[in-house]
Amino acid sequence: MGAGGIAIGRRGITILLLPVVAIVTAGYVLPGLVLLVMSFGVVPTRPSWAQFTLEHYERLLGDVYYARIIGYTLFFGLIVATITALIAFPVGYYLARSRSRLTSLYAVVTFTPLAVGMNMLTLGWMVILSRTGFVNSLLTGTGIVTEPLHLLYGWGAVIVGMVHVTFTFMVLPIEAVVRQIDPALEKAARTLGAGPLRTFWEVVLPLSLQGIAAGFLIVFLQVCGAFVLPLLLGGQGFTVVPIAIWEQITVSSDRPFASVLSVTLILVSLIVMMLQLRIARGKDLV
Amino acid sequence: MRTGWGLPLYATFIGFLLLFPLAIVVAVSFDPGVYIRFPVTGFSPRWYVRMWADETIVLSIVNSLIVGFSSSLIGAIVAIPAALAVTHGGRFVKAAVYPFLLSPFAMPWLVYGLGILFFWGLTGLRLSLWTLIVGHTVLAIPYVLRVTLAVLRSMPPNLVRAARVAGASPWQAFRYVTLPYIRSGVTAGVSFALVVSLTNIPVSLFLTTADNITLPVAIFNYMINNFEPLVAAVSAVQVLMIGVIIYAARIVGGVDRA
Repeated sequence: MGAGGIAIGRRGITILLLPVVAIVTAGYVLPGLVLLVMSFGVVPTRPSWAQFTLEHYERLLGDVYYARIIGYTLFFGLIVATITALIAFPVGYYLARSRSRLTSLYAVVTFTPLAVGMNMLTLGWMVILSRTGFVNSLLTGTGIVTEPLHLLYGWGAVIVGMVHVTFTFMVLPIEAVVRQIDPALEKAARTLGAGPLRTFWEVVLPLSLQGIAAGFLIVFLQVCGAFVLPLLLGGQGFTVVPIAIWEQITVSSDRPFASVLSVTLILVSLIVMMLQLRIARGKDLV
Repeated sequence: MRTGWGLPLYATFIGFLLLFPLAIVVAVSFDPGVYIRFPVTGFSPRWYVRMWADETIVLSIVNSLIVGFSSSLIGAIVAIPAALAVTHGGRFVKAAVYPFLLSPFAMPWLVYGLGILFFWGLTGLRLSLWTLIVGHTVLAIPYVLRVTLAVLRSMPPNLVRAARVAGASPWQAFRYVTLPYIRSGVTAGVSFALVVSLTNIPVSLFLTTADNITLPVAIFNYMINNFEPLVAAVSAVQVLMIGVIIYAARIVGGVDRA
């Protein structure tokens, strides 16, 4: 007996699940398997055991260039997730605790990065950071600098952009977890003589760790898989795994090696997803 | 609890920062000049007129709407029964099938698009709007499934029981009791899936040709090659379309009770 109030037999359940499982299998499982097969050098149209090779994986592990790209990607994910957590925590806390009517308007604002599309956000930051853009025209116009600064292209621009893109994924779980903390706990800490800072460190932060961790992992996942914004704001020389995959397809036409890089990225995602499931333990925080 | 002035002020500042890049794109989209710069050199709807003369952009808007509506509706048609199955199902369905259906959410989009490209190459099917519809349907499923499931869990079991006792068939009970109850949740999930489809670049990128190009991919191609206010105007139109869809979904879904 579930929430629907009637029992559905095992056959009924199977019939209800059949269409969705068929689509997910055809649209997602099989393509994933094709990537896996191709990463071992097998040509899926006429496969044979003789084609099986680890050479593409050896190339990935043996080349410092690719080891560095994977390292950059993970570092990129960690740094953006950390910065986003620091910026988003006070906002999430405010949304959870404020009784102001403005919070419903604010909820719409926090949702915009997800709704407007990557091209809009990327373009916005390009206009802000470019040579003829907002920041440079402000700085040269007021005479603070004489020559436009190189703000676009590179780590700085990409990190700023990704923090914006992933903000929603961080603020939602933090808001959800702070809502579950009884405000009386904070009051008690304050009554017992703890200052605001100590109350935060010893009461609020430990109790919100689950939400922060949930947000951190989602943001990390999003950043490691991000492609459009890093490509356009990073410029030449900024290479993370998704950009490397794109280059393998569009420039080198090396499908087996693109598959190896893809499988690597999927492995990272799977590990993060496993961590997510352990942390969430059935609770829906997002 | 009193929060003082610091926190609201900080939150407002961050909110302003979140909106600022969008406002600035809208501002430069009205620039009559040939490249994007700040401050804008004037005010003209020039690029908003120009974009409708661009065949690729007009085609990509039509394609995006076809792919978006088809994939989110097909996603809903398969995900609603799945949500019922997960609520009524046993341990295997809850612990294995449900996470499996949600897992596309964690798949890096670019990798997923690449997999579809290789797979369709294998089957010998040409890349078409259908390729994109299948790909985007898989993306839509987790969104519709999650929201529908959340609403179903909050539904009092006695509603359906009462309908059955009163003589309704299982289908009638679903059609006249369950479906109206989950309508707002389903609409929210569908509209979100639609927005994901209308804005998705990485999944579609490898799967689009001149015929089945989508709006965000067309914008992406422009952005790689030049820095005209045209991309700003097209992006602004895209956001306007999304705004209309979200607003319409709120009306169709009724006042949200979730």
